[in-house]
Amino acid sequence: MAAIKTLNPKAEVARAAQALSINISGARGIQDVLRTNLGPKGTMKMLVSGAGDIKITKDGNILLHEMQIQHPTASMIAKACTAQDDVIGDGTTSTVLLIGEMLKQAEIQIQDGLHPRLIAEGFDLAKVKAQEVLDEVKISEKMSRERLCQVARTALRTKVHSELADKLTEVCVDAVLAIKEDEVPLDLHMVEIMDMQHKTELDTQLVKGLVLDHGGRHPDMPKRATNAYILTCNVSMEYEKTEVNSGFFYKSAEDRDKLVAAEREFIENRVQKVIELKKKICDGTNKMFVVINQKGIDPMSLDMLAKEGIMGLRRAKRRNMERLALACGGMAMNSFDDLDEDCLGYAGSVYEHVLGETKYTFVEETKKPQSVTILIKGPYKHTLTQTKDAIRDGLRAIKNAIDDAALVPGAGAFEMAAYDTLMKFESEVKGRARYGVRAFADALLVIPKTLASNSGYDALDSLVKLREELKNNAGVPVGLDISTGEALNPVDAGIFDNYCVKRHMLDACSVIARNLLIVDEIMRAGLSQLK
Amino acid sequence: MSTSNMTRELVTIQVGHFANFVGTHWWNLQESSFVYDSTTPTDINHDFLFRDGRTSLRQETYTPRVLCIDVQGSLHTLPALGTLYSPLHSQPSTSEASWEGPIQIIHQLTQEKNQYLMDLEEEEKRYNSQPTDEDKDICVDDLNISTKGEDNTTSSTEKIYDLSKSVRVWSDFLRPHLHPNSIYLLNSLHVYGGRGLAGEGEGDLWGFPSGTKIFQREDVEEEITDRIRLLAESCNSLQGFQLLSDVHNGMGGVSSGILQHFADDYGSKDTITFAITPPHLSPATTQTRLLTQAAILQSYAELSQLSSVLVPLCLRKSICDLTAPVVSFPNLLYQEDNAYLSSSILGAFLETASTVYRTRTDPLPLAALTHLLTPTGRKVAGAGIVLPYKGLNEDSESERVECGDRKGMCGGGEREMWRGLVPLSAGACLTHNPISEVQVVRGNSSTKSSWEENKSPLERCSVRAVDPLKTTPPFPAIFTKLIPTTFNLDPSRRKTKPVRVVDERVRSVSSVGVIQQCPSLCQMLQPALTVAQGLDVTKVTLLQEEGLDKDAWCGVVEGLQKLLLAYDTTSNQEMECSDDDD
Repeated sequence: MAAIKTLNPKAEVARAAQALSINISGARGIQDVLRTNLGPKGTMKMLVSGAGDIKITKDGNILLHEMQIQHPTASMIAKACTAQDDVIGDGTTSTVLLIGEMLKQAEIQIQDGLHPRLIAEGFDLAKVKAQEVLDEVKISEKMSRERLCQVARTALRTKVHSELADKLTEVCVDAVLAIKEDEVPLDLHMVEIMDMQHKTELDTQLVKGLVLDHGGRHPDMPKRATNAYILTCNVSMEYEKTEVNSGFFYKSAEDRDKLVAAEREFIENRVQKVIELKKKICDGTNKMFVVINQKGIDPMSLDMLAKEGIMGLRRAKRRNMERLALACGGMAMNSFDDLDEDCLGYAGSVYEHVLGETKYTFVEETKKPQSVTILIKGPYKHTLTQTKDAIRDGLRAIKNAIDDAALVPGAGAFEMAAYDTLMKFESEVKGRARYGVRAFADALLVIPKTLASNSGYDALDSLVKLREELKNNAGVPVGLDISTGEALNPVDAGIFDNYCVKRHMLDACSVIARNLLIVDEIMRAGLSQLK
Repeated sequence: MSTSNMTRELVTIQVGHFANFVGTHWWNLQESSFVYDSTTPTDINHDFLFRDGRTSLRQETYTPRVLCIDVQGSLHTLPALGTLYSPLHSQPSTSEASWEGPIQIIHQLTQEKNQYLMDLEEEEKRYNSQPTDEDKDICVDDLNISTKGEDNTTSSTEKIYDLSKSVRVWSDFLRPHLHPNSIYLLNSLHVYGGRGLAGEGEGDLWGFPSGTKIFQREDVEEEITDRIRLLAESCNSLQGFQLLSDVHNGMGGVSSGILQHFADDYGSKDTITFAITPPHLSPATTQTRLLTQAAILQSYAELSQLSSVLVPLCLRKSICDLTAPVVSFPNLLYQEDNAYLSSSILGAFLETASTVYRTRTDPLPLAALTHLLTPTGRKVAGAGIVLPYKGLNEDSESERVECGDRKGMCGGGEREMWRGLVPLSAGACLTHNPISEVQVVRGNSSTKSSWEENKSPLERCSVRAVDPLKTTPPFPAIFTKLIPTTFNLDPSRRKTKPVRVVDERVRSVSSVGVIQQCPSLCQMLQPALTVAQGLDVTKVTLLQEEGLDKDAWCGVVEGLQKLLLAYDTTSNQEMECSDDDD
């Protein structure tokens, strides 16, 4: 009897084999949920919540977030895998599949009497070897637009239907190329993602400029400006409390009005400065003037601006201030004290688009757009979210490819190659740890096998074909053609995965599987669920 | 345009499950006090807290300017987007998924709506099917219904429900529609981490540090701050924020992140924070109890620094001792372990007290309010409520119950009023002669001053509004039988029978809400500091897991000390003063 039982009779304890079987069942359970997702032919999941909220996804990471997992092991795996997604943005499904499969293979060996720790040792050896293989098969080269398109398409085809995937591929690659500068790390924040519940998802487009989700708040303000100066600022143009709380120190209504008027004048002076600048540079030309403010602009100030034909937007996103400066030029002003033309940006066209109660303002035709917007469209909220999630993944895949300056052939090619090498490596390993290496190698095959079965082919049949092909053409990557079930060369087909995703996957799954294997006691005591 | 009567909007942020319970009661009370005809007098300008909008179907809407933050899975029957802007599809079809491959529909457990929500839905259907569209407002006017629908059913405000048993989450009794951007759910995977706890009653097992960490996640921060920005953008003259926050779990950390954001991006705006602790906490083990206490203490330390004024709302008589007795009300019955009932009292308080900054004429600016309540850096103010308020001229027929430890120390009207005043700030006794205070009387149209105006406006602001609190469903039946159905101070309107039939509902009551700065707050905060000093964080594994180390805890203790310092220097002297007043 476990020692804890003598101290706390209500404690639940699972030991050795029992503990292991709890862990394995948890890992297998979560694997079963995600198994059908893998690959471009996987099953799309449509989650309908108790209240009728709809979520459509095929992304392992999002599924893990949406499912409220109760099993302690499964929840731990989910946490670890979503952490991977936070770092590199992809590969959750593969990682979960691998962990489940590694435990399954280990279970077979353990039933034969092998100690879990020896298997764990073997896993570690195999992981190092597999990473060597990864470094061998990776294709290092300068990323051309075509290559970026290929890697983005591979990622997107597993998330949305092919027509949309191709559309989004173009959009994502163009967006990244627009903001990319040599020798500067890529900052994906400079791609704004904006959604509009309108039309269909195929109308999603790249706007070379910015789209803001707010508009002018005055009926007389121009709705459209061409050839416009853009003033971005972070200066309050609204009535504020003053340092002294005016509400208390007046003796009569007149006094109070005086105080209010004085305060008002202070704000008016600020607005006046903008108007003066506008008059100075725009009068007599066909140029127009737009103010985009991070702080508020109250109705009276809006009124003053509208009278001068100035378009004024208030409460812009903080990040948009940065984006505006990159897209239009100029700089974000924190005071109006020394305003001149140099502070201003330029946009050829600024216009408002109204959709229900939401106004969108498009800032387009900028000189050198180093910040762009992907405008997602779709008929329902859930299609918008689905497209948005896909775009995030597509952008991350492109960024990873640029950062790594390397790609790995996809379609299960890496897993096949690693399997091949590990089987040879097995005989070099001394002692019983070799069984661990073997388990790891067998586990890797889960990726091509699942790809095949998700596409409607016999998993083992396809596996035989792939191994045959690998034997005949040493050194050439061999992947699975999901439309025929035969072998293909992923490099020719343009199927690429990110190097860092695969690398991270190997790391994550060997660490987690190892930890789960060597647990030999699970206790539940003390926490409130035992009430 | 005169600035004094300008609509100066406030944005409300509700963080945490119990805070949302309180908030829901508050919005319900507000909506039930909407006045649709011009003959009923009203003193409240609802535009301060509500906004006009319009759906894609060109239907006019009027929704609260609110952001509710809770954990995934705590809405039950309410879709996160609400049903106002996106009517529910009857049956989700696979064609919406637009996918060439196989599609699997996974239905999560369907939640059953309670009787109240079903009636509300029914009422709305009836309303929408009416051919006339002269009044496009979605809010159903009970007057309308009772005249038009006399033949069949009674409207939801007339019917008697026993929601105290069927309500499990706050959306179970939410009457107004919310804007689709108004609800933000934190992902439960991030909240509970790898602990694998998602069962009932375990929602409180995460501490302040994990809350802070969740807010620091880029996606969470961006989403929350962007929704706040959209609310602020729609305001013409935003004056500040009201933050209702749970403080007994990680939500305190989320709130401190939000307050930090306010300080960075809305520097000139004021924030009034209501730090809410539910009375039904009962941690099973010492470890979890310490986790909860640590969260409360750290929240008080951090939130009080970042907000303009912090008002604790806690029905127990101590902010830290989770087993302290709850305050009792002379004319109310409630079970302390029922969140729906206990939150209704706090909701009624908010509705009453907040009247001070949203009256039609001369509303007190939030800046002035916070200035009034926080002399010499005393950031924590105490709250109290008289519910129901029986007025001054009336001989109260119920037995006279002395509340709290207050002595009968004032004469005349004040005495009468103070008799019913129950402190809501962790038992901090309120005094009739505080350093400064805000008083609001609801449901009293008499212009006669109900208490001697012996205080200068620098120290006291008192406001009266004719609108009583409409305590029709979904407000719970917490009143004892002695309260007549319409409890109004105004003699001209007191036509209804004085004592109601047993199962009849109290339809409206008067109330008094008080927020004041008084010496006894020091006695409320002192024990908190003692607990904080006595807590050895290195011995609490749950806190260690969250990454709270000794240094961080020292910071919390220092924060509380600093908070108390503002009270300490003069507290003794003032205590004497108030005693002398007897």
